[in-house]
Amino acid sequence: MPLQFVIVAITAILFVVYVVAMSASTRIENRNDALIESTQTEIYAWESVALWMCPLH
Amino acid sequence: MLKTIIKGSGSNTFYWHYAWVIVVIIAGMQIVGSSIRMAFGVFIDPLQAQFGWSQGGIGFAYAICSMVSAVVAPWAGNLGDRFGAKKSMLVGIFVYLIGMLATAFVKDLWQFWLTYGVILGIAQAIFLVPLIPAAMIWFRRHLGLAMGLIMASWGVGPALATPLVAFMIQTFGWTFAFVSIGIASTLMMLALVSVFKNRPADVGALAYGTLKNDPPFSDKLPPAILLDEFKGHMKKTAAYWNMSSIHFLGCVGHAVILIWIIPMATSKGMSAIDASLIFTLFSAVSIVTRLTTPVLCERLGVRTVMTVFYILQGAPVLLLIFSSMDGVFLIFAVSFGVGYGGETGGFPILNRKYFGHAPMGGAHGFQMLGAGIGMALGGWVGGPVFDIFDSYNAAFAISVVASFAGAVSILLLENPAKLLIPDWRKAEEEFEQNLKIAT
Repeated sequence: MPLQFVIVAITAILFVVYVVAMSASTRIENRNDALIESTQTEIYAWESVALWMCPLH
Repeated sequence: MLKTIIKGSGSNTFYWHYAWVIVVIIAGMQIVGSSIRMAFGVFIDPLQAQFGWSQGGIGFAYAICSMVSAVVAPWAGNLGDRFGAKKSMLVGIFVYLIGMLATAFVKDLWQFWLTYGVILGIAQAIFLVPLIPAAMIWFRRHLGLAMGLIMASWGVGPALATPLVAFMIQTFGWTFAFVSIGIASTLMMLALVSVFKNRPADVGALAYGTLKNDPPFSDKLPPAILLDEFKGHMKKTAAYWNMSSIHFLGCVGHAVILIWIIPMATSKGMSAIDASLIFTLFSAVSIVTRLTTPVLCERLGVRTVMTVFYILQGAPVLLLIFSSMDGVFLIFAVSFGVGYGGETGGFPILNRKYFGHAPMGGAHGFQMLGAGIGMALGGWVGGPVFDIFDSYNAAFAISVVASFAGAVSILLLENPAKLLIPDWRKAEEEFEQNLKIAT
């Protein structure tokens, strides 16, 4: 059983999911902050998918 | 029937043999074939000026190229095992020429992604992945010296190619530069391939370092059925998988630095030229350790040496995070160059120790898959992490963690004192005997 390989593969996938979701979250927050009047912020499709995939965001 | 050429072998480390011509051909192929990928940084401004594409869009072509090369690598390695490296190289060169000529005439960004990213990505995998396994066939002993010379050429390529490609694009324009570089590179690679031989038997010799009492290897391309059987043996070992993940970690560790050290240095007030000198310095230092690491692995123990170089790759990055003293970039560049150059040199030696003389294309290709994904991830991660934290420190911390995790993973590998799979030579001999009986 290639334990190290399995750990590295799972950790890398989880890490990518987390970073992409965190990046999406930051971008949405930045756009929110930039709006003078509170209107509905546009959320791109990839950002929605990234936030949906990460349970921590 | 093989003509046995054992003259000059015995205990000598170095003597004349056609294997050295093969080493020079492979080094030349690496330098010429990978130059257009290594010089990618100089494409960005001219493409942006000519077509108005965004930097992110242009950079995405490099990511596609890396990922496509990585995904195709295991298949390319098997292609080299099955049909010989010479045929693989010829196919790769043909695809390369198509990719270069098509890239010369791109008009839209998606065309650039397709021609540079996909076609040249496939070409690079086909003609570069079978090279290391091809060199291994030529060396029964003293493989470290050959691998050192080949790996040193990886460091020479970017140094030669980048200014030349920049000059060509600036002077003659995008289209003419790509057409002329494509044709010139193709002709150079065809000249190299014309004197390349798949196996020592093709020049009537035995592999370098063969002693008088060593049983001979077959002088034919390995049969497909035996190749499949040994691929199965390799895949059943943990080392086959773990070496790929170790290569992945090592590549994440240095890809972060390769891509993000210059933006980080300029953000701290350094001029662009001074920042690029950091890159040049650690690339130059890395040539020395690329050359020496495989030899050290053979002499001092492959796991020990690889672990040390992974730590030497990760530890200097801590300087970038925690130190603000004068001259930190100079100390960093020299010490990181040592580790970065030595990170990859142990893999062919480890392959030989674990899998003996079995055709190595599939195993090497799978390791290159890990390496390619690691390069793509390491190169990409700095961007979003910088957007989130407004600092490069988090990206550098990822580099440190990846290098140190690689070091720990190497320590946990099996002892390379004995083969992990059956002896290829015996299996090949038995197969030929059975074939004779059957016919």
